[in-house]
Amino acid sequence: MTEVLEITQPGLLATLQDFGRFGHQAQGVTEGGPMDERAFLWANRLLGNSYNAAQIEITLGQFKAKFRHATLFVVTGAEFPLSLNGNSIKSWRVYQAQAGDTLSVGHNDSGLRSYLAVSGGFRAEPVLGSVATVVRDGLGGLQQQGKPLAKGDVLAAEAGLAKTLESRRPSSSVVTAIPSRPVLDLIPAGQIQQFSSAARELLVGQTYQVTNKQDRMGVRLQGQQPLPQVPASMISEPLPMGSVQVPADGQPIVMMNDHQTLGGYPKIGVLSWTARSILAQLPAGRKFQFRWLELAEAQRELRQVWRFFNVMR
Amino acid sequence: MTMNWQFQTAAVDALMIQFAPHIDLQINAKVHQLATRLRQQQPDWLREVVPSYRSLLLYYDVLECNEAQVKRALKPVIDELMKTDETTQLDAQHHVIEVCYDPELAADLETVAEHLKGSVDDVVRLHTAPTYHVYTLGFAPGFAYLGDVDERLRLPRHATPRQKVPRGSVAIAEQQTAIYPRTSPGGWQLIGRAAAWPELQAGDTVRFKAITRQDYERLCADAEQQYD
Repeated sequence: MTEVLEITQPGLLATLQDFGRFGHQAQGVTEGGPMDERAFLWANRLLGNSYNAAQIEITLGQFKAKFRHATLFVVTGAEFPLSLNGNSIKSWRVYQAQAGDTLSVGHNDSGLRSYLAVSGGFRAEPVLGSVATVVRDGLGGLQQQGKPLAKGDVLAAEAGLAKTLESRRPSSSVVTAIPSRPVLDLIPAGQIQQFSSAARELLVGQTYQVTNKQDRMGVRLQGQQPLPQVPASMISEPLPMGSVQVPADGQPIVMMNDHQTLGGYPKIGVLSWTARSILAQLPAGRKFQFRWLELAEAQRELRQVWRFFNVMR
Repeated sequence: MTMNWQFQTAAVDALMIQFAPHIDLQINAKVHQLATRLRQQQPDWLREVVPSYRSLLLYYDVLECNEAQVKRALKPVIDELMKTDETTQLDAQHHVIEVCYDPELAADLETVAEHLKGSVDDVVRLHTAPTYHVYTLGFAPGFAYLGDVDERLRLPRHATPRQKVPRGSVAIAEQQTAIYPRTSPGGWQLIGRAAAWPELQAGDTVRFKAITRQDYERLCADAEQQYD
Protein backbone atom coordinates (compact mmCIF):
# COMPACT_ATOMS: atom_id res chain seq x y z
CA MET A 1 0.00 0.00 0.00
CA THR A 2 1.45 3.32 -1.10
CA GLU A 3 0.37 6.95 -0.90
CA VAL A 4 -0.38 7.82 -4.51
CA LEU A 5 -2.42 11.00 -4.65
CA GLU A 6 -2.83 14.30 -2.82
CA ILE A 7 -5.94 16.41 -3.41
CA THR A 8 -4.94 20.03 -4.09
CA GLN A 9 -8.39 21.27 -5.19
CA PRO A 10 -11.51 19.09 -4.68
CA GLY A 11 -13.93 21.22 -6.74
CA LEU A 12 -17.64 21.36 -5.86
CA LEU A 13 -17.86 17.79 -4.56
CA ALA A 14 -15.30 15.02 -4.81
CA THR A 15 -16.11 11.77 -3.00
CA LEU A 16 -14.51 8.38 -2.61
CA GLN A 17 -16.82 5.71 -4.04
CA ASP A 18 -16.64 1.97 -4.48
CA PHE A 19 -19.56 0.09 -6.09
CA GLY A 20 -21.76 0.71 -3.04
CA ARG A 21 -22.85 -0.41 0.41
CA PHE A 22 -25.17 -3.37 -0.04
CA GLY A 23 -27.18 -5.48 2.37
CA HIS A 24 -28.05 -2.81 4.96
CA GLN A 25 -31.18 -1.14 3.61
CA ALA A 26 -33.23 -2.92 6.28
CA GLN A 27 -31.30 -0.76 8.80
CA GLY A 28 -32.01 2.41 6.81
CA VAL A 29 -28.54 2.49 5.21
CA THR A 30 -28.62 3.47 1.55
CA GLU A 31 -26.27 2.15 -1.18
CA GLY A 32 -24.22 5.15 -2.25
CA GLY A 33 -21.72 4.24 -4.96
CA PRO A 34 -21.04 5.82 -8.35
CA MET A 35 -23.89 7.81 -9.92
CA ASP A 36 -22.61 6.86 -13.40
CA GLU A 37 -21.98 3.14 -12.88
CA ARG A 38 -21.09 2.69 -16.51
CA ALA A 39 -18.19 5.18 -16.39
CA PHE A 40 -17.05 3.77 -13.03
CA LEU A 41 -17.02 0.14 -14.19
CA TRP A 42 -15.19 1.09 -17.38
CA ALA A 43 -12.46 2.87 -15.42
CA ASN A 44 -11.80 -0.22 -13.29
CA ARG A 45 -11.92 -2.50 -16.32
CA LEU A 46 -9.43 -0.38 -18.26
CA LEU A 47 -6.98 -0.60 -15.36
CA GLY A 48 -7.53 -4.30 -14.76
CA ASN A 49 -8.97 -3.53 -11.30
CA SER A 50 -11.72 -5.41 -9.50
CA TYR A 51 -15.15 -3.95 -10.42
CA ASN A 52 -15.45 -2.71 -6.82
CA ALA A 53 -12.09 -0.87 -6.58
CA ALA A 54 -12.58 2.62 -5.08
CA GLN A 55 -12.35 5.73 -7.26
CA ILE A 56 -12.92 9.47 -6.87
CA GLU A 57 -16.24 10.79 -8.18
CA ILE A 58 -15.61 14.37 -9.30
CA THR A 59 -18.62 16.67 -9.63
CA LEU A 60 -18.52 19.50 -12.23
CA GLY A 61 -14.74 19.33 -12.62
CA GLN A 62 -12.48 22.09 -11.24
CA PHE A 63 -10.46 19.34 -9.56
CA LYS A 64 -6.69 19.21 -9.09
CA ALA A 65 -4.44 16.58 -7.59
CA LYS A 66 -0.77 15.73 -7.34
CA PHE A 67 0.59 12.22 -7.74
CA ARG A 68 2.92 11.11 -4.96
CA HIS A 69 3.95 7.82 -6.52
CA ALA A 70 4.08 6.37 -10.02
CA THR A 71 0.79 4.75 -11.03
CA LEU A 72 -1.45 4.03 -13.98
CA PHE A 73 -4.62 6.10 -13.97
CA VAL A 74 -7.67 6.87 -16.07
CA VAL A 75 -10.44 9.49 -15.99
CA THR A 76 -13.84 8.40 -17.37
CA GLY A 77 -17.35 9.86 -17.37
CA ALA A 78 -18.06 13.40 -18.57
CA GLU A 79 -15.69 14.57 -21.32
CA PHE A 80 -14.15 17.33 -19.23
CA PRO A 81 -10.85 18.85 -20.42
CA LEU A 82 -7.93 17.10 -18.70
CA SER A 83 -4.29 17.92 -18.36
CA LEU A 84 -1.26 16.20 -16.89
CA ASN A 85 1.51 18.68 -15.98
CA GLY A 86 -0.27 21.21 -18.18
CA ASN A 87 -0.33 18.95 -21.26
CA SER A 88 -3.74 18.04 -22.58
CA ILE A 89 -4.69 14.36 -22.18
CA LYS A 90 -7.80 12.36 -23.12
CA SER A 91 -10.52 10.94 -20.95
CA TRP A 92 -11.29 7.19 -21.17
CA ARG A 93 -7.54 6.50 -21.80
CA VAL A 94 -5.07 4.93 -19.42
CA TYR A 95 -1.93 6.98 -18.68
CA GLN A 96 1.18 6.49 -16.58
CA ALA A 97 1.75 9.16 -13.93
CA GLN A 98 5.08 9.77 -12.16
CA ALA A 99 5.59 11.05 -8.63
CA GLY A 100 5.20 14.83 -8.70
CA ASP A 101 2.89 14.91 -11.75
CA THR A 102 -0.16 17.15 -11.45
CA LEU A 103 -3.58 16.26 -12.84
CA SER A 104 -6.14 18.92 -13.60
CA VAL A 105 -9.80 18.33 -14.49
CA GLY A 106 -11.64 21.26 -16.07
CA HIS A 107 -15.30 21.70 -16.80
CA ASN A 108 -17.69 21.96 -19.74
CA ASP A 109 -21.34 21.09 -20.38
CA SER A 110 -20.68 17.56 -21.68
CA GLY A 111 -21.79 16.05 -18.38
CA LEU A 112 -21.71 16.37 -14.60
CA ARG A 113 -19.41 13.74 -13.17
CA SER A 114 -16.07 12.16 -13.92
CA TYR A 115 -14.27 9.25 -12.28
CA LEU A 116 -10.58 9.19 -11.42
CA ALA A 117 -9.28 5.66 -10.96
CA VAL A 118 -5.76 4.45 -10.21
CA SER A 119 -4.23 1.03 -10.59
CA GLY A 120 -5.37 -1.21 -7.70
CA GLY A 121 -7.98 1.29 -6.48
CA PHE A 122 -7.88 3.83 -3.64
CA ARG A 123 -7.68 2.46 -0.15
CA ALA A 124 -9.79 3.41 2.91
CA GLU A 125 -11.18 1.56 5.91
CA PRO A 126 -14.62 0.19 4.90
CA VAL A 127 -17.77 0.96 6.91
CA LEU A 128 -20.42 -1.79 6.71
CA GLY A 129 -18.39 -3.44 3.97
CA SER A 130 -17.90 -0.38 1.77
CA VAL A 131 -15.87 2.83 1.47
CA ALA A 132 -18.66 4.56 -0.51
CA THR A 133 -19.12 8.12 0.78
CA VAL A 134 -22.70 8.96 1.75
CA VAL A 135 -22.66 12.46 3.23
CA ARG A 136 -26.27 12.26 4.39
CA ASP A 137 -25.68 9.01 6.30
CA GLY A 138 -22.28 10.11 7.64
CA LEU A 139 -20.73 6.88 6.36
CA GLY A 140 -17.69 5.98 4.27
CA GLY A 141 -14.95 8.05 2.69
CA LEU A 142 -11.36 8.53 3.79
CA GLN A 143 -12.19 9.03 7.50
CA GLN A 144 -15.27 6.72 7.56
CA GLN A 145 -17.59 9.62 8.49
CA GLY A 146 -19.09 10.42 5.12
CA LYS A 147 -16.95 13.49 4.48
CA PRO A 148 -16.21 14.59 0.92
CA LEU A 149 -12.53 14.76 -0.07
CA ALA A 150 -10.83 17.98 0.99
CA LYS A 151 -7.71 19.89 -0.01
CA GLY A 152 -4.66 18.18 1.50
CA ASP A 153 -6.25 14.72 1.73
CA VAL A 154 -3.77 12.02 0.76
CA LEU A 155 -5.03 8.75 -0.70
CA ALA A 156 -3.21 5.45 -0.71
CA ALA A 157 -3.79 2.70 -3.23
CA GLU A 158 -3.73 -1.06 -3.24
CA ALA A 159 -1.05 -2.72 -5.33
CA GLY A 160 -2.32 -3.01 -8.91
CA LEU A 161 -1.06 -4.10 -12.29
CA ALA A 162 2.31 -2.60 -13.14
CA LYS A 163 1.99 -3.20 -16.88
CA THR A 164 1.43 -0.21 -19.11
CA LEU A 165 -1.96 -0.41 -20.71
CA GLU A 166 -1.91 2.96 -22.41
CA SER A 167 -3.43 1.66 -25.60
CA ARG A 168 -6.46 0.39 -23.73
CA ARG A 169 -9.72 2.15 -24.47
CA PRO A 170 -13.35 1.08 -24.30
CA SER A 171 -14.49 -1.42 -26.89
CA SER A 172 -17.93 -0.91 -28.39
CA SER A 173 -19.88 -3.65 -26.64
CA VAL A 174 -21.05 -1.40 -23.81
CA VAL A 175 -21.21 2.06 -25.29
CA THR A 176 -20.06 5.06 -23.31
CA ALA A 177 -21.41 8.08 -25.17
CA ILE A 178 -24.03 10.42 -23.74
CA PRO A 179 -26.41 11.25 -26.61
CA SER A 180 -27.32 14.91 -27.15
CA ARG A 181 -31.04 14.03 -27.04
CA PRO A 182 -31.17 10.98 -24.76
CA VAL A 183 -33.96 8.43 -24.57
CA LEU A 184 -34.21 6.89 -21.10
CA ASP A 185 -35.60 3.36 -20.83
CA LEU A 186 -38.20 2.95 -18.11
CA ILE A 187 -39.58 -0.35 -16.81
CA PRO A 188 -43.20 -0.38 -15.54
CA ALA A 189 -42.97 -0.87 -11.76
CA GLY A 190 -44.44 0.03 -8.38
CA GLN A 191 -47.91 1.56 -8.56
CA ILE A 192 -48.01 1.70 -12.40
CA GLN A 193 -51.45 -0.01 -12.34
CA GLN A 194 -52.88 2.91 -10.35
CA PHE A 195 -51.80 5.50 -12.92
CA SER A 196 -54.30 6.28 -15.69
CA SER A 197 -53.50 5.30 -19.27
CA ALA A 198 -53.43 9.04 -20.04
CA ALA A 199 -50.61 9.49 -17.49
CA ARG A 200 -48.67 6.50 -18.82
CA GLU A 201 -48.96 7.80 -22.39
CA LEU A 202 -48.04 11.36 -21.47
CA LEU A 203 -44.92 10.17 -19.64
CA VAL A 204 -43.45 8.73 -22.86
CA GLY A 205 -45.21 11.16 -25.22
CA GLN A 206 -43.81 14.47 -23.98
CA THR A 207 -40.32 15.86 -23.55
CA TYR A 208 -38.83 16.12 -20.06
CA GLN A 209 -35.97 18.18 -18.80
CA VAL A 210 -33.67 17.79 -15.85
CA THR A 211 -34.05 20.60 -13.29
CA ASN A 212 -31.40 22.13 -11.04
CA LYS A 213 -33.05 20.37 -8.09
CA GLN A 214 -30.76 17.39 -8.30
CA ASP A 215 -28.06 15.81 -6.19
CA ARG A 216 -26.81 12.35 -5.25
CA MET A 217 -30.19 11.61 -3.60
CA GLY A 218 -32.44 12.29 -6.53
CA VAL A 219 -33.21 14.25 -9.68
CA ARG A 220 -36.36 16.31 -10.11
CA LEU A 221 -37.74 16.39 -13.63
CA GLN A 222 -39.96 18.91 -15.37
CA GLY A 223 -42.43 17.90 -18.07
CA GLN A 224 -44.35 20.36 -20.25
CA GLN A 225 -47.50 19.11 -18.54
CA PRO A 226 -47.79 17.48 -15.12
CA LEU A 227 -48.98 13.86 -15.13
CA PRO A 228 -52.76 13.81 -14.57
CA GLN A 229 -54.65 11.92 -11.81
CA VAL A 230 -51.66 11.07 -9.63
CA PRO A 231 -52.56 8.34 -7.08
CA ALA A 232 -52.52 9.35 -3.40
CA SER A 233 -49.43 8.99 -1.20
CA MET A 234 -49.07 5.64 0.53
CA ILE A 235 -47.72 4.11 3.72
CA SER A 236 -43.95 4.40 3.26
CA GLU A 237 -42.37 1.40 1.60
CA PRO A 238 -38.84 0.37 0.55
CA LEU A 239 -37.58 2.44 -2.32
CA PRO A 240 -35.13 0.99 -4.87
CA MET A 241 -32.55 3.07 -6.74
CA GLY A 242 -33.78 4.34 -10.11
CA SER A 243 -37.43 4.50 -8.97
CA VAL A 244 -39.49 7.22 -10.64
CA GLN A 245 -41.69 8.70 -7.91
CA VAL A 246 -44.57 10.99 -8.77
CA PRO A 247 -45.65 13.41 -6.02
CA ALA A 248 -49.02 15.16 -6.13
CA ASP A 249 -47.71 17.93 -8.43
CA GLY A 250 -47.35 15.37 -11.24
CA GLN A 251 -43.64 16.09 -11.89
CA PRO A 252 -41.44 12.97 -11.50
CA ILE A 253 -38.46 12.57 -9.18
CA VAL A 254 -35.89 9.85 -9.94
CA MET A 255 -34.25 8.34 -6.86
CA MET A 256 -30.48 8.00 -7.22
CA ASN A 257 -27.65 6.40 -5.20
CA ASP A 258 -28.04 8.28 -1.88
CA HIS A 259 -31.86 7.96 -1.87
CA GLN A 260 -33.70 7.48 1.42
CA THR A 261 -34.55 3.80 1.98
CA LEU A 262 -38.30 4.37 2.48
CA GLY A 263 -40.68 6.51 0.48
CA GLY A 264 -44.41 7.11 0.27
CA TYR A 265 -44.97 8.69 -3.15
CA PRO A 266 -46.46 6.43 -5.83
CA LYS A 267 -43.96 5.07 -8.35
CA ILE A 268 -44.72 4.75 -12.05
CA GLY A 269 -41.58 2.86 -13.04
CA VAL A 270 -37.87 2.33 -12.59
CA LEU A 271 -34.97 3.30 -14.88
CA SER A 272 -32.89 0.71 -16.70
CA TRP A 273 -29.19 0.39 -15.83
CA THR A 274 -28.06 2.42 -18.85
CA ALA A 275 -30.76 5.06 -18.33
CA ARG A 276 -29.59 5.65 -14.75
CA SER A 277 -25.98 6.17 -15.86
CA ILE A 278 -27.09 8.62 -18.58
CA LEU A 279 -29.32 10.58 -16.19
CA ALA A 280 -26.38 10.93 -13.77
CA GLN A 281 -24.65 13.02 -16.46
CA LEU A 282 -27.49 15.29 -17.66
CA PRO A 283 -27.06 18.96 -16.71
CA ALA A 284 -30.06 21.07 -15.67
CA GLY A 285 -32.10 22.06 -18.71
CA ARG A 286 -31.09 19.06 -20.86
CA LYS A 287 -34.12 17.61 -22.67
CA PHE A 288 -34.84 13.91 -23.00
CA GLN A 289 -37.65 11.42 -23.55
CA PHE A 290 -38.78 8.34 -21.71
CA ARG A 291 -39.48 5.05 -23.50
CA TRP A 292 -41.17 2.00 -21.97
CA LEU A 293 -39.02 -1.11 -21.83
CA GLU A 294 -40.13 -4.58 -20.81
CA LEU A 295 -38.61 -6.03 -17.65
CA ALA A 296 -37.23 -9.06 -19.53
CA GLU A 297 -35.29 -6.75 -21.88
CA ALA A 298 -33.94 -4.70 -18.97
CA GLN A 299 -32.81 -7.89 -17.25
CA ARG A 300 -31.05 -9.07 -20.42
CA GLU A 301 -29.15 -5.76 -20.46
CA LEU A 302 -28.22 -6.04 -16.77
CA ARG A 303 -26.99 -9.64 -17.17
CA GLN A 304 -24.82 -8.59 -20.10
CA VAL A 305 -23.35 -5.70 -18.06
CA TRP A 306 -22.71 -7.78 -14.93
CA ARG A 307 -20.92 -10.44 -17.01
CA PHE A 308 -18.95 -7.95 -19.11
CA PHE A 309 -17.61 -6.09 -16.08
CA ASN A 310 -17.34 -9.20 -13.92
CA VAL A 311 -19.63 -7.72 -11.26
CA MET A 312 -20.18 -10.19 -8.44
CA ARG A 313 -22.85 -8.76 -6.23
CA MET B 1 -55.97 -15.48 9.50
CA THR B 2 -56.45 -14.72 5.83
CA MET B 3 -54.71 -11.74 4.39
CA ASN B 4 -54.41 -10.46 0.87
CA TRP B 5 -51.02 -9.98 -0.69
CA GLN B 6 -49.59 -9.37 -4.14
CA PHE B 7 -46.35 -9.20 -6.09
CA GLN B 8 -45.19 -5.96 -7.68
CA THR B 9 -42.19 -5.36 -9.93
CA ALA B 10 -39.96 -2.95 -7.99
CA ALA B 11 -36.76 -2.72 -10.05
CA VAL B 12 -34.79 -4.59 -12.72
CA ASP B 13 -33.50 -6.88 -9.96
CA ALA B 14 -36.09 -6.39 -7.22
CA LEU B 15 -39.59 -7.63 -6.42
CA MET B 16 -42.01 -6.19 -3.84
CA ILE B 17 -44.49 -8.25 -1.83
CA GLN B 18 -47.38 -6.04 -0.74
CA PHE B 19 -49.77 -6.92 2.07
CA ALA B 20 -52.94 -4.98 2.98
CA PRO B 21 -52.32 -1.19 3.08
CA HIS B 22 -52.59 -0.58 6.83
CA ILE B 23 -50.18 0.22 9.64
CA ASP B 24 -51.15 -2.80 11.67
CA LEU B 25 -49.23 -5.06 14.05
CA GLN B 26 -50.52 -8.32 12.57
CA ILE B 27 -49.75 -7.31 9.00
CA ASN B 28 -46.32 -6.03 10.04
CA ALA B 29 -45.64 -9.29 11.89
CA LYS B 30 -46.25 -11.24 8.66
CA VAL B 31 -43.81 -8.98 6.78
CA HIS B 32 -41.07 -9.63 9.34
CA GLN B 33 -41.81 -13.34 9.63
CA LEU B 34 -41.42 -13.61 5.88
CA ALA B 35 -38.15 -11.65 6.02
CA THR B 36 -36.85 -13.94 8.77
CA ARG B 37 -37.80 -17.12 6.88
CA LEU B 38 -36.12 -15.95 3.71
CA ARG B 39 -32.97 -14.92 5.56
CA GLN B 40 -32.86 -18.34 7.22
CA GLN B 41 -33.49 -20.24 3.99
CA GLN B 42 -30.93 -18.14 2.10
CA PRO B 43 -31.84 -19.26 -1.40
CA ASP B 44 -28.99 -18.80 -3.93
CA TRP B 45 -30.88 -16.15 -5.85
CA LEU B 46 -31.63 -13.92 -2.84
CA ARG B 47 -29.39 -10.90 -2.33
CA GLU B 48 -31.17 -8.61 0.14
CA VAL B 49 -34.45 -8.39 2.06
CA VAL B 50 -35.92 -5.01 3.08
CA PRO B 51 -39.05 -5.20 5.24
CA SER B 52 -41.17 -2.15 6.09
CA TYR B 53 -44.72 -1.60 7.43
CA ARG B 54 -46.71 -3.77 5.06
CA SER B 55 -44.22 -4.36 2.25
CA LEU B 56 -41.19 -6.55 1.73
CA LEU B 57 -38.64 -5.69 -0.96
CA LEU B 58 -36.48 -8.52 -2.28
CA TYR B 59 -33.34 -8.03 -4.36
CA TYR B 60 -32.43 -11.06 -6.42
CA ASP B 61 -29.50 -12.09 -8.57
CA VAL B 62 -30.45 -11.63 -12.23
CA LEU B 63 -27.60 -13.94 -13.23
CA GLU B 64 -29.33 -16.75 -11.30
CA CYS B 65 -32.98 -16.20 -12.18
CA ASN B 66 -35.72 -14.04 -13.65
CA GLU B 67 -38.79 -12.54 -11.98
CA ALA B 68 -41.12 -15.42 -12.85
CA GLN B 69 -38.75 -17.92 -11.20
CA VAL B 70 -38.52 -15.78 -8.06
CA LYS B 71 -42.32 -15.60 -7.86
CA ARG B 72 -42.59 -19.38 -8.27
CA ALA B 73 -40.09 -19.93 -5.48
CA LEU B 74 -41.78 -17.43 -3.15
CA LYS B 75 -45.43 -18.33 -3.55
CA PRO B 76 -45.39 -21.56 -1.49
CA VAL B 77 -43.36 -19.83 1.26
CA ILE B 78 -45.91 -16.99 1.50
CA ASP B 79 -48.93 -19.31 1.24
CA GLU B 80 -47.59 -21.40 4.10
CA LEU B 81 -46.87 -18.32 6.19
CA MET B 82 -50.44 -17.11 5.67
CA LYS B 83 -51.83 -20.36 7.05
CA THR B 84 -50.01 -20.03 10.36
CA ASP B 85 -51.30 -17.98 13.27
CA GLU B 86 -47.79 -17.37 14.44
CA THR B 87 -47.56 -13.82 15.77
CA THR B 88 -44.20 -13.82 17.47
CA GLN B 89 -40.86 -13.57 15.83
CA LEU B 90 -38.10 -15.98 16.76
CA ASP B 91 -35.16 -13.58 16.63
CA ALA B 92 -36.98 -10.57 18.10
CA GLN B 93 -35.42 -8.96 21.17
CA HIS B 94 -36.87 -6.84 23.94
CA HIS B 95 -35.09 -3.65 24.94
CA VAL B 96 -35.52 -1.16 27.77
CA ILE B 97 -34.30 2.33 26.86
CA GLU B 98 -33.71 4.97 29.53
CA VAL B 99 -35.09 8.39 28.68
CA CYS B 100 -34.77 11.72 30.46
CA TYR B 101 -38.01 13.67 30.07
CA ASP B 102 -36.77 17.19 30.85
CA PRO B 103 -38.11 20.33 29.13
CA GLU B 104 -34.54 21.63 28.85
CA LEU B 105 -33.61 18.61 26.73
CA ALA B 106 -36.90 18.25 24.85
CA ALA B 107 -38.22 21.35 23.11
CA ASP B 108 -41.81 20.16 22.67
CA LEU B 109 -42.37 18.42 26.01
CA GLU B 110 -44.32 21.28 27.63
CA THR B 111 -46.43 21.95 24.52
CA VAL B 112 -47.33 18.27 24.33
CA ALA B 113 -48.36 18.38 28.02
CA GLU B 114 -50.55 21.43 27.29
CA HIS B 115 -52.12 19.59 24.37
CA LEU B 116 -53.01 16.81 26.84
CA LYS B 117 -54.39 19.40 29.24
CA GLY B 118 -52.10 17.70 31.70
CA SER B 119 -48.60 17.83 33.13
CA VAL B 120 -45.18 16.69 31.95
CA ASP B 121 -45.67 13.71 34.30
CA ASP B 122 -48.77 12.71 32.35
CA VAL B 123 -46.76 12.71 29.11
CA VAL B 124 -44.09 10.56 30.78
CA ARG B 125 -46.70 8.15 32.14
CA LEU B 126 -48.39 7.72 28.74
CA HIS B 127 -45.13 7.41 26.81
CA THR B 128 -43.52 4.87 29.17
CA ALA B 129 -46.63 2.68 29.56
CA PRO B 130 -46.80 0.71 26.28
CA THR B 131 -44.50 -1.97 24.94
CA TYR B 132 -43.66 -0.60 21.51
CA HIS B 133 -43.10 -2.64 18.39
CA VAL B 134 -40.38 -1.79 15.83
CA TYR B 135 -42.38 -1.60 12.59
CA THR B 136 -39.48 -0.72 10.33
CA LEU B 137 -36.18 1.11 9.99
CA GLY B 138 -35.50 3.78 7.44
CA PHE B 139 -35.16 7.50 6.69
CA ALA B 140 -31.58 7.40 8.03
CA PRO B 141 -29.28 4.67 9.36
CA GLY B 142 -30.67 3.18 12.56
CA PHE B 143 -33.84 5.31 12.60
CA ALA B 144 -36.49 2.91 13.98
CA TYR B 145 -40.21 3.57 13.66
CA LEU B 146 -41.91 2.39 16.89
CA GLY B 147 -45.63 2.08 17.55
CA ASP B 148 -48.27 2.41 18.71
CA VAL B 149 -48.33 5.61 20.72
CA ASP B 150 -51.27 6.02 23.14
CA GLU B 151 -54.17 7.70 21.33
CA ARG B 152 -54.15 10.61 23.81
CA LEU B 153 -50.53 11.36 22.94
CA ARG B 154 -50.96 11.47 19.17
CA LEU B 155 -49.89 14.77 17.61
CA PRO B 156 -49.05 15.71 14.04
CA ARG B 157 -45.55 16.56 12.82
CA HIS B 158 -44.47 20.20 12.90
CA ALA B 159 -45.61 22.07 9.77
CA THR B 160 -42.02 23.18 9.26
CA PRO B 161 -39.36 20.65 10.28
CA ARG B 162 -36.52 21.72 12.58
CA GLN B 163 -33.15 22.13 10.90
CA LYS B 164 -31.38 20.40 13.77
CA VAL B 165 -32.83 17.75 16.04
CA PRO B 166 -30.17 16.71 18.60
CA ARG B 167 -28.83 13.16 18.60
CA GLY B 168 -30.70 10.95 21.05
CA SER B 169 -33.92 12.98 20.91
CA VAL B 170 -36.99 10.90 21.69
CA ALA B 171 -39.88 12.07 19.55
CA ILE B 172 -43.49 11.35 18.66
CA ALA B 173 -45.58 11.85 15.50
CA GLU B 174 -49.13 10.50 15.18
CA GLN B 175 -49.06 6.80 16.19
CA GLN B 176 -45.26 6.57 16.02
CA THR B 177 -42.34 7.27 18.29
CA ALA B 178 -38.60 7.19 17.55
CA ILE B 179 -35.09 8.09 18.70
CA TYR B 180 -33.05 10.31 16.37
CA PRO B 181 -29.81 8.27 16.06
CA ARG B 182 -27.79 11.28 14.89
CA THR B 183 -28.29 15.02 14.77
CA SER B 184 -30.39 15.70 11.70
CA PRO B 185 -33.32 17.75 10.42
CA GLY B 186 -36.68 16.46 11.65
CA GLY B 187 -40.32 17.37 12.10
CA TRP B 188 -41.41 15.19 15.02
CA GLN B 189 -42.44 16.43 18.50
CA LEU B 190 -39.45 16.18 20.86
CA ILE B 191 -40.42 14.87 24.32
CA GLY B 192 -37.24 13.35 25.78
CA ARG B 193 -33.59 12.50 25.39
CA ALA B 194 -31.74 9.19 25.58
CA ALA B 195 -28.02 8.96 26.39
CA ALA B 196 -27.60 5.51 24.87
CA TRP B 197 -29.71 2.99 23.01
CA PRO B 198 -29.20 -0.42 21.42
CA GLU B 199 -29.23 -1.19 17.72
CA LEU B 200 -32.86 -1.98 16.99
CA GLN B 201 -34.13 -4.50 14.46
CA ALA B 202 -37.57 -4.51 12.91
CA GLY B 203 -39.79 -6.82 14.95
CA ASP B 204 -38.04 -6.02 18.24
CA THR B 205 -40.01 -4.64 21.19
CA VAL B 206 -39.10 -1.59 23.28
CA ARG B 207 -40.14 -0.07 26.62
CA PHE B 208 -39.05 3.41 27.66
CA LYS B 209 -38.02 3.99 31.28
CA ALA B 210 -37.92 7.49 32.77
CA ILE B 211 -34.64 8.54 34.43
CA THR B 212 -33.62 11.69 36.28
CA ARG B 213 -31.56 14.50 34.77
CA GLN B 214 -28.72 13.49 37.08
CA ASP B 215 -28.76 9.89 35.82
CA TYR B 216 -28.93 11.13 32.25
CA GLU B 217 -25.84 13.35 32.72
CA ARG B 218 -23.97 10.47 34.32
CA LEU B 219 -24.85 8.14 31.41
CA CYS B 220 -23.70 10.79 28.94
CA ALA B 221 -20.37 11.08 30.76
CA ASP B 222 -20.03 7.26 30.74
CA ALA B 223 -20.76 7.16 27.01
CA GLU B 224 -18.14 9.83 26.38
CA GLN B 225 -15.53 7.95 28.36
CA GLN B 226 -16.01 4.91 26.16
CA TYR B 227 -14.74 6.98 23.25
CA ASP B 228 -11.64 8.23 25.06
